[in-house]
Amino acid sequence: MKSLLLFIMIAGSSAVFASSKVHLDQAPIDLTDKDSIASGAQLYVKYCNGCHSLKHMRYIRIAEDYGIDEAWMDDNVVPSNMKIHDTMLTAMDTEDARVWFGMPPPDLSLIARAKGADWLYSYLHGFYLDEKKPFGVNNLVSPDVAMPDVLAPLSGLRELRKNTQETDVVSQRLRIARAGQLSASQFDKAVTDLVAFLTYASEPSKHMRERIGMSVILYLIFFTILAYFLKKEYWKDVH
Amino acid sequence: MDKRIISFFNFFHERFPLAKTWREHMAGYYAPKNFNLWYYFGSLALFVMVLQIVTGIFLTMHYKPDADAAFDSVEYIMRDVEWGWLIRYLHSTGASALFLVVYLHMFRGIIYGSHKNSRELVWLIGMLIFLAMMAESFMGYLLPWGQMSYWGAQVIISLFSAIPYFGEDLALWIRGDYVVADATLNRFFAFHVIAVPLALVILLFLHIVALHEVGSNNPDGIDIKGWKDPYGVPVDGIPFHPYYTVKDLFGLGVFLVIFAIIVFYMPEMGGLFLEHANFIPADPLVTPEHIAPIWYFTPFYSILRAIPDKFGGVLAMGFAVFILFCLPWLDQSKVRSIRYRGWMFKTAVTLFVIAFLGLGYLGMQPVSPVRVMFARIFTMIYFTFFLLMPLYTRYDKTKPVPSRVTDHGNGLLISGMKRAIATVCITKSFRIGSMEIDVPVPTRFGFSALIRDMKYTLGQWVDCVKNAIKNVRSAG
Repeated sequence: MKSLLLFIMIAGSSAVFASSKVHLDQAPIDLTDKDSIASGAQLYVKYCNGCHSLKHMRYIRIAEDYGIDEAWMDDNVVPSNMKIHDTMLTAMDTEDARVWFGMPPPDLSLIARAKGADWLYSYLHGFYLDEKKPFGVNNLVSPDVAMPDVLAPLSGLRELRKNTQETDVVSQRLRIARAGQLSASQFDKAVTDLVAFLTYASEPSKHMRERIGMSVILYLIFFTILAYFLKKEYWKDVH
Repeated sequence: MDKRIISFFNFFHERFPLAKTWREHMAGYYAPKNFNLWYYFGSLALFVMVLQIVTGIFLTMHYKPDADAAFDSVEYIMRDVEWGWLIRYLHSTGASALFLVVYLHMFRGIIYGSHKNSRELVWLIGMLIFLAMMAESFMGYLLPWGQMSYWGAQVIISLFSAIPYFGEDLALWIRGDYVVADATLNRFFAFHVIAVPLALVILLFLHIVALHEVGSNNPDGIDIKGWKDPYGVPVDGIPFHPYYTVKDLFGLGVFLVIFAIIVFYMPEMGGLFLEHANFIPADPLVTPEHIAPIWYFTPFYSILRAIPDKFGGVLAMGFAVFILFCLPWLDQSKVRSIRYRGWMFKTAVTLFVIAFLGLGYLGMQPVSPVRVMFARIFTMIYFTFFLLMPLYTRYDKTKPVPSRVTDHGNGLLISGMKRAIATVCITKSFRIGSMEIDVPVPTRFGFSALIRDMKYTLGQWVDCVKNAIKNVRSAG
């Protein structure tokens, strides 16, 4: 009995500390919010597209999927040297990036499927001041990451709180050292929009899949009920 | 017009045995009438196999088997190909569904003795199909060229290099290069698209031919050909068509509902069917945090990891699959079906199932001392199930087998559902043209009656347990 309890305790604890991961915030994204996605796309092009390509995504696709006005898209999202039907490539040269950062910034088309929305949200909230790093910042979610804190003008500069526990979520372990252009709630909305956009970009057909799925499943249930009665009818004379 | 159709059929049937084949294998193939839930999985496996081939053909139209283009071509299918996302999800979910269905199909064989005399060949061909399926899915998984694809292949092929003397050369020959590379991708593509599917189709044909030669087994393990009517038809047999074609159609419907829910609402299955790391392109310089094979390989992967020596682990894993081939000769019971076997076999099967599921779960987790200990215990149970089988099946006390098949009726779930429907609904007759059908219609008072009924049943169970505890207390 004792060894069983001991096993359960050890097994249970190993599940919690299985990988020394940070506790992530929950990303409050809403993939049906057209304005959120549009704002996220704008932020992406403004702050992220300089280094990170989104090579599987076209500007026109975002407009079509969410019913965003193409003219608005052209004015506010599509860079001046690109067309709305282009894929969202980056201008940064891969070899230059390798010299500057150590590795080229990865393409973000599928980052939300690889890491999850919560991870991305916590990551963007997780930069803090660290004078030992080349860019002066470190990240709680991805320690020693080569990326600088690109959103610092918006969020301000953060530092590690003292007296926090490992089990606290990322946003609770940092506090603002110097304020940025946006207030805390405004910055939170910006990050939410950005993460929502990236989540959409990693699977643009998700909405269609779920919508069609409902009809398919209802039809199959109807078909199965009919098939059941047909089977019963045929099998009446058996036994 | 009729005369032309008749003369066409005569022309055709003189030259091709279609009608004969239909008579012998469908309308005139007599299967036992007592097939239960476990007997759906064969036809379901065939359906999913066909689905894999059809979706595979459409994927091959757009996929590019080149290390630089493969990952991007899969995303192209997901986004730009019309319905590409659906074809991709059907194929990825289908692979997992195929293994689930085949594992259940194999389990049916174990519990009802479908591998025993004289169906040994059916079992052996089935085992070859299983081997081919494992090869097919392993090679197919490399094709998306994600991190898990690359590193999973790297780990498994390196197991071959553990074989003494020629292991390194063997691994080099399989890979076509010193590490998993473009050469590996190209040859795996060739095998996955045509070589193994061709072998699978041939093996499936042989599997069914071997089955039809002996006739199907049944949940009672009785040989229905032992009792035939004056026309030579087994008294407990019914023609496969239309009885089992229509029953399997219903089974297919139930399966498709569950399958569709997964395909349309949770195709990743939390990382079990489409692993998260595979959405990152393969990088030979970055090893993923946690390399794990896909869920249907985890029991065997667990056995591999349980043995401390690398080659020893490879041998154990290979032996775990090989020992399944020996099942018809290890099982020396006089009786086929678990229904008439003794407590020894029933205990052995229960332990085997727990061990297999346990190994499967452990294979998905990173190693830890406690987990390795459990993996070793489960591995021992797994092998003991087979190695001791000649003993415990021979000395097990079996029950007398009836001469005619029995009807066990429905289990708890189906009877419970039927009773619930009967409580809530009254039957109303409807006329559509000349057809009269009885439809259960829920009534307003039916639901409260159901709740009352459920409360009563629950009360009975609670009383029973209370009494049992009281009896144990007073006795001890």
